[in-house]
Amino acid sequence: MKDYNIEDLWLQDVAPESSFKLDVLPSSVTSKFSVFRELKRVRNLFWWQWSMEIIGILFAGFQFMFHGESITIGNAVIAMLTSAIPYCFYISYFRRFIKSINDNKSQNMKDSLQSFLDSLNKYIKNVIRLFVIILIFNIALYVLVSIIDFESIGRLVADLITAVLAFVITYASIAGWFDFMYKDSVTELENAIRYLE
Amino acid sequence: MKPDFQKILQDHNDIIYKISKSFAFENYQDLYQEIAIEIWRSLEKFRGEAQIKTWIYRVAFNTAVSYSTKVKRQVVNNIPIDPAEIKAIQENYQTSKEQAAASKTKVNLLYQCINMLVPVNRSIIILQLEGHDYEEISQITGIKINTIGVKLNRIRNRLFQLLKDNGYERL
Repeated sequence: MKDYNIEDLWLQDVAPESSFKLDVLPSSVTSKFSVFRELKRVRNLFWWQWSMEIIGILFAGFQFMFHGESITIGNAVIAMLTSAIPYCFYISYFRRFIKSINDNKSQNMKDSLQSFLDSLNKYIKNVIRLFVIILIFNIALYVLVSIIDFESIGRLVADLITAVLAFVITYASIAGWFDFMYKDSVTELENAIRYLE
Repeated sequence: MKPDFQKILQDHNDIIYKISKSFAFENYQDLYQEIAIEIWRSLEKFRGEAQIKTWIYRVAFNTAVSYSTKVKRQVVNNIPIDPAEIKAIQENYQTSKEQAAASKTKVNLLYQCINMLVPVNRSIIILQLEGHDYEEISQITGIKINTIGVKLNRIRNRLFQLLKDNGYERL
């Protein structure tokens, strides 16, 4: 068998200069990198925020139970702002990203991100909806506390009423928060990340 | 400390490029992307137990084998080199421009012939062409060191036969 000089041939071919830098790699790669990183960031944000909010709600519940104070309107406003603002930013980011995907090969990723974006939009609406519910609850509690004379009905009954109210608020908040807000968004987010992985 | 992804890609650009071309000649850019993404994803798992180069080879070969299994394209079988192209190059062989073109065609033929080998054999020949000794080839591929020599001999013969059959000498 004739021995061709394949070693020399092999060395002749050198990788193009253009593929030396990440920023000149085909755009689909850099996009894939950035969106993957962003999706993971959103996912972490979801779980951190959810944990913090549970702690916040429990704290408010205890505060109400032991001191007769309800979750204040201020708390509700802050909760709404901290929930909604980061997601508004991400919605705008993903909307731009989805628009930039034009090739057919990335259609699945585009669809996946679009459903995530839809669920994020739904999430924002739910945040506003919950804010209104919390507001109504607070007004109702304020009215209730003003009407009922706790001293006359006895400390035990008063404590019982406040404990039940605290429990209802806490439970409704946690259940509502998770089931109606996070579940869909997190599922869609996990799908998008799984697709990229 | 986590190694810098961009630097790793720069340092090993040449070998990733060559592995990509050897496993997916026509779609080597796609494979290059896949390997780059796989390196990026696997960086967290890299604990520095192996040398970074050895680790890069492993990741690149594993990705390339999975990719070629998925795509299953035999470039040379499906798209043989156009005889008209070979003739045109032969006619103008004297000028330096065509010499360069012929040389490029020979290199491409080499890649295409490597692409026709069994995936594990592709890895072995690439590592030899890159100048690695038997011990390093064994370390990267996981093949027993005492079988590497025999395997290499067979692979080289098969490669030369493929080159000959696909018109290497006419180029």
